[in-house]
Amino acid sequence: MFIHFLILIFGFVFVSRTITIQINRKPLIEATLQDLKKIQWPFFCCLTILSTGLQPLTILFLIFTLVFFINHTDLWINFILRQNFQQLWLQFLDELILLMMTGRSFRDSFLFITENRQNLFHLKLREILLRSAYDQNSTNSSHLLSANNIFIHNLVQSIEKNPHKALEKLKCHRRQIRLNVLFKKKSKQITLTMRTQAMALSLLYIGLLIFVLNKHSDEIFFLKKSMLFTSIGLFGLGLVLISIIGRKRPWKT
Amino acid sequence: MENISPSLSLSLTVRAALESGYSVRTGILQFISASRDPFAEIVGTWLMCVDQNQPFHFISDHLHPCRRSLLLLLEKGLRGLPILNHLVELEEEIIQSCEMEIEAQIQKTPLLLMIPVFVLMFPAYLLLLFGPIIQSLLIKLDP
Repeated sequence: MFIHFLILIFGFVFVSRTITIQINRKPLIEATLQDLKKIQWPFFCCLTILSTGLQPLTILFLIFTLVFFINHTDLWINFILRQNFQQLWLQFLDELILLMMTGRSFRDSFLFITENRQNLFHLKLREILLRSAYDQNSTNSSHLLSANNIFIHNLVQSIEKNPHKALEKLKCHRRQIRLNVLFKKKSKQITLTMRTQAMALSLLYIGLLIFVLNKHSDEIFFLKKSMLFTSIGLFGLGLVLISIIGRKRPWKT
Repeated sequence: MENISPSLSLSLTVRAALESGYSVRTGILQFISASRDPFAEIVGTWLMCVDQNQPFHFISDHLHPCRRSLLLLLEKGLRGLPILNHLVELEEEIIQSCEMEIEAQIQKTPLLLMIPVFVLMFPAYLLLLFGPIIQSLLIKLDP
């Protein structure tokens, strides 16, 4: 049943991720997809009850899932989307700098790249560029934009105020992002080993625990549970210590 | 150690400001307003000391050599000297220093991981595997 629950959660998190990505890619069907996103968790509950029956364990599982998973799926899906944004933005900057090096102006190159692309990222970029032209004389409308878009909006505005330094500014900005990506990648190597090791050890321990509980279910082992709890406690403490070691460390440099 | 080092961030921000035609002060202020790192607070205090012509060695003395050199260079920039070329060279040094710090951390991590694995997790496994056997043996041996 545990494996059954795991498969159900994995499937629905995957569906949720796909819907969120599609919402960001295809703005025209956003409303339909949002509706679909709203009904996915009730659908998940119905499917779980149908497949496992209305047992106390199923109800506990559903309560746990609904309390802990709904907010967290959105969190990690947003994390994936942020990663995609950085990649797309870097590709866009490369293209923009190359076009500007051929002698085109910033605005011209920007519009040229975004003109024939129909995905949401390029549509939003185009909208930001057009909005920034009006914002120079009117009140700032950055409250209408998301954090990533505000960042692009400010960059576009600062370049349009000083167009003679546009190429240098963009190159500098690209170098900053590339360095950021490079250091993030390198520093992730530190925590990756720890996470992998902790995960492998935990899976092994859970497997062993299930095996021992099955094998000695009717024996004297259960009369003295202290040994079992000591083992679980020691393992939990080990996991806590690993997470403390793998915590973010402040830079010395 | 997930993001860019604060000293590298300061150097990049000031360089971006200088290359865009702004002053060193603008770059430093941009860094202070954007960064949430404790180093930004130190830079803020340092900037106040420089503005009031007060000594700031008590701030920079306990800092990492890279951070100290960067603050000394920026002080020259605030006094009006051209620092862009020196800043570019220092940036390379800071990048190398950051890479070395990450490498040292990567080398140290497996050794640190040994402690919880051998001291806590290994006994937990042993207890789980041999616990029932030892327990039944003890009961059988008990007169």
